[in-house]
Amino acid sequence: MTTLAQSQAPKLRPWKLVLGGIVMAMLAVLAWGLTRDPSYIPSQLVGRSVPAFALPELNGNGTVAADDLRGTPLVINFWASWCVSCRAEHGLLTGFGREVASRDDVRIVGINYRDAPAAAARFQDELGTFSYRSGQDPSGRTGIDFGVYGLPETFFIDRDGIVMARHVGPLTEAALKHNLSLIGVTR
Amino acid sequence: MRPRRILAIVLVAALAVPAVAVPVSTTSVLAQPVKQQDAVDARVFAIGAKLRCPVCQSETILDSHSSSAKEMLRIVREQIDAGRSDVEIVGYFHDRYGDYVLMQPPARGANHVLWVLPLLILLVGGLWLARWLGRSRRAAAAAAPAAPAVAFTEHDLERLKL
Amino acid sequence: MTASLVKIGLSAATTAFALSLFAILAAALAARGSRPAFLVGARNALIVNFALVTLAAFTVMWSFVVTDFSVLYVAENANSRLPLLYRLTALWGAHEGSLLLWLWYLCLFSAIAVMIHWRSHPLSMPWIIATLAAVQAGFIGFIVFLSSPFREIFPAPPDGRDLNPLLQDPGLAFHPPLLYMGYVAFSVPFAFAVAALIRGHAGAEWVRAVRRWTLFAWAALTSGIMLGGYWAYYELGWGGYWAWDPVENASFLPWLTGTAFLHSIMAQDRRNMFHTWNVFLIVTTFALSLLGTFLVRSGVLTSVHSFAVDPGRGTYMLAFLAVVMVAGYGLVVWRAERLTAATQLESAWSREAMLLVNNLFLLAAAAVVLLGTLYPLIVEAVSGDRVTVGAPYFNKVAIPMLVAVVFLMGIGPVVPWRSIKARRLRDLLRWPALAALVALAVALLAGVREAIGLAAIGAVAFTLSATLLDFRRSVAAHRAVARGGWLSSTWRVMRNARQRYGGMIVHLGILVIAFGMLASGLFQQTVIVSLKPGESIALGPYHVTFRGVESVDGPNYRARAGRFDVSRDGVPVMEMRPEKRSYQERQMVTTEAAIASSLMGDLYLVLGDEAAHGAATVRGYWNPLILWLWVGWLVVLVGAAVAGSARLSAARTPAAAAVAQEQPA
Repeated sequence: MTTLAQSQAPKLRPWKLVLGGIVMAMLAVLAWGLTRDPSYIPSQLVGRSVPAFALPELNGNGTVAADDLRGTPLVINFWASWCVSCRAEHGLLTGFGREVASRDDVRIVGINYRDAPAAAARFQDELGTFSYRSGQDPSGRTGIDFGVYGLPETFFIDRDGIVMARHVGPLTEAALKHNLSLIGVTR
Repeated sequence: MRPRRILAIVLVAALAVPAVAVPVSTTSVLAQPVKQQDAVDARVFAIGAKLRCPVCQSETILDSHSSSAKEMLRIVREQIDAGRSDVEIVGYFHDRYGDYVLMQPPARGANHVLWVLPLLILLVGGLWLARWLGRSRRAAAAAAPAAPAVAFTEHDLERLKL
Repeated sequence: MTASLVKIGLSAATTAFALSLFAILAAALAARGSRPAFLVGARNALIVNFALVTLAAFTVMWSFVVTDFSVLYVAENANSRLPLLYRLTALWGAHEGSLLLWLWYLCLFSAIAVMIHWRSHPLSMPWIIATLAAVQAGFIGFIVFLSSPFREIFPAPPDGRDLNPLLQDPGLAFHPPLLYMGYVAFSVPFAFAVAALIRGHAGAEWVRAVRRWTLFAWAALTSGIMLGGYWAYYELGWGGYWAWDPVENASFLPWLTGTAFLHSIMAQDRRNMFHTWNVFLIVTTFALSLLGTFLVRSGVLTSVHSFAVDPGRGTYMLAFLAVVMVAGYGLVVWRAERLTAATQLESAWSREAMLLVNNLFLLAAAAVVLLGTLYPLIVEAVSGDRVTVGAPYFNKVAIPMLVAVVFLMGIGPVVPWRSIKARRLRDLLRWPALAALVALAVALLAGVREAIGLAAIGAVAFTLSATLLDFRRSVAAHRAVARGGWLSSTWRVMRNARQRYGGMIVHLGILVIAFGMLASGLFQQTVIVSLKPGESIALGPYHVTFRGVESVDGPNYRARAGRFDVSRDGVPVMEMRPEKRSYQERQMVTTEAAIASSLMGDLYLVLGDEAAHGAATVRGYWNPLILWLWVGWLVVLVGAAVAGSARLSAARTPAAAAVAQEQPA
């Protein structure tokens, strides 16, 4: 048996290193986690072909279909009247829509996600009308095909129909410009 | 009867309760047709419990009452009706939402840590414990070589205390 | 009028912050120079802090009572139509108030601890006070500077945003307060552990105080978890009570390590062993309590909505957690050699060794739960991918470890301290082993095929019979000497060894809980069907007929209520009305399940979406014996109360009493 004096001096033992390592690693992971949004889901679609869809148009009798939109860089914006953050990007989107109307190198469509046409109309009356078409996705099935989990989400598709980027949350001027450059569109 | 035997009977009876309680009263005298769960429902439940609702906070699509989760459950049912296998249906959602949508991470790559580490903890803990026990016993033997065998343990004495 | 009230609350809290800083300083000076006046000052500061924080909490509560919407926290979490009960419980309905409740408990327990242990722990007292005051300072600082429930808005809105509808439930009146009570009460054992580590001394008095506080904290935490399960069961409407979600896991972690501590502290009490291990467990339990608060409140693992706006809050809480962990574990690492045990283990077949094996499995379970809870963060940090670790994982990995713990519960208590002969142990465990085999046979006949379910049934039967046989042996031994009746002998035996039999009653309660979990888990029946009025489903022993849906309005919500006639063997027994409520202010829909509980099982109905012609989707569950979970919880509470009333062995004998006098450091 060791004497009292010997046994009282701190010693470096393996368990101390393990304990210290675990504590430090845990704190580091938590600190890193603070900078993350826990509800964020990375897109599975980037680098793949845009899913097929053919949705009834929101304000008319036509159809918004993926097949008709091939050949030109395309922006698809998921929105809804119940989505609070959609209001923040509305002005930017209507402005960009007007700009796109006079260009032939890029197109934009909306998908009205899990919404009712009447509510969507009220939303546009209040905040301004989109100058481009929106398809209706009342059940959210097209949204599931796109891996949508939280509105607004905007997809950027190149001329070959490959999804190059997805933006979650309200679009900003800078985000729009950056993502457009990924599908070969300058703004 | 000896108390020991009574105990055994009580125990068996207690454990038999769920067995007795479970069978559905099929001999219902009511005239209405009874809607039954079928094999499809059982599969909907099994698959629904494996998938996480993407818009909720760590709930499965089976447990969540959100409309997204309900729609996903509807898709599960449609695909079962269309003759798809469980793996295909889970794959359908995995394709769209990635690993996030699986309630249990797929067993590949670094995810093996989740299974190996618990075993390792038990193993290392057990070995460390055994080593410590051995060392401690040797030290105890060295400290008190002529320790008498304890006839009455402290524990027994506590029981006899009046 | 009342707007000035929260100003008083803020002043009180700010004063308390200053006093806690003073208490740290004064206690530290008292420890260095042994100046009693400083120590008295520090003690009084903690007692005054309790009064100040009580006043501060009262000002917020009163603002809720009079629905003063000029107070931001009230405006965000109450509404003029919110019933009074929920206006009171709304105090802990969101972030700021929850932390205020946390702080109030901390001040309450600090004041109680310094008063009742003032005489018995004179040499540890400076460190105990300094530690408690430091924890207080951390929390008050957070509340005053970053997360103030005293903030006002001008002009005051005409009405409030209402309380989160999920929290408008009587269950919530008790669940968070009990959970926090458990979390916070671990701060007192933590303070004692810090004192023990600094002084290098943890004697019999220390064991006595720490064990009692931990037992109290453990009972409160157990209650908080069980009530949380009950709340989830009847408010969330998915037929279950535990989903292994991060918030639940966070509360389970300190429970596991606290349970481990309550066992290993017995070895320190009876055999003067495991000193370092015990302080390590206390530090871990308190750190995990803080981690639980951090995980729930910082938005690291679950998205928190309105209150996540301030990134400073998460940073502060993490910094505080880091200080506690680095200081606590740092002391353990630095002073471990000072607390080396005086006694050695004699046999692998002894209570001491059994306790260590129990600790191994409880800690391994805690490690698994922690790993699974943090794993998504680790993966994201390393590879950027998002994964989910949910119930299927924990059921496969943590549950087997807990089954092992249940099995050990049958062996540990019958093995005496120091050592036992193998033959004697075999004799003691022969009947329990037989009971386990019989139970397994019954379970197989009942159609159970899952390996883990069978193992759990075997373990419960084994431990239940071992526990009951142990009771019987003790009573029989007493009768053989005292010639009393069964009843009076049982009473005497229990009274004479309250620590032991309190613990055994807790074990019985845990077994009852396990029994309810097994029965409801293995034999649950579930249906999701679309029913037209007049159609029926069969669930458990019941026949449930759908009659239609009607509108019902509450004070702050509108609801659709389904009507179901329930009969048993052709005899109508009751009507059940599950609701779907739509709360106007928050525009949230909640499901209110209709539950018919009995000891045999619960019939649980949830109303889903309505379709054409009065049809509706209905979810029905038959949860056999699920009520036994909460019956078991009551048994656990009784056992904890019995165990808590016991004087420890150390205090019983004159020789030990001499040791119990604190030795100078």
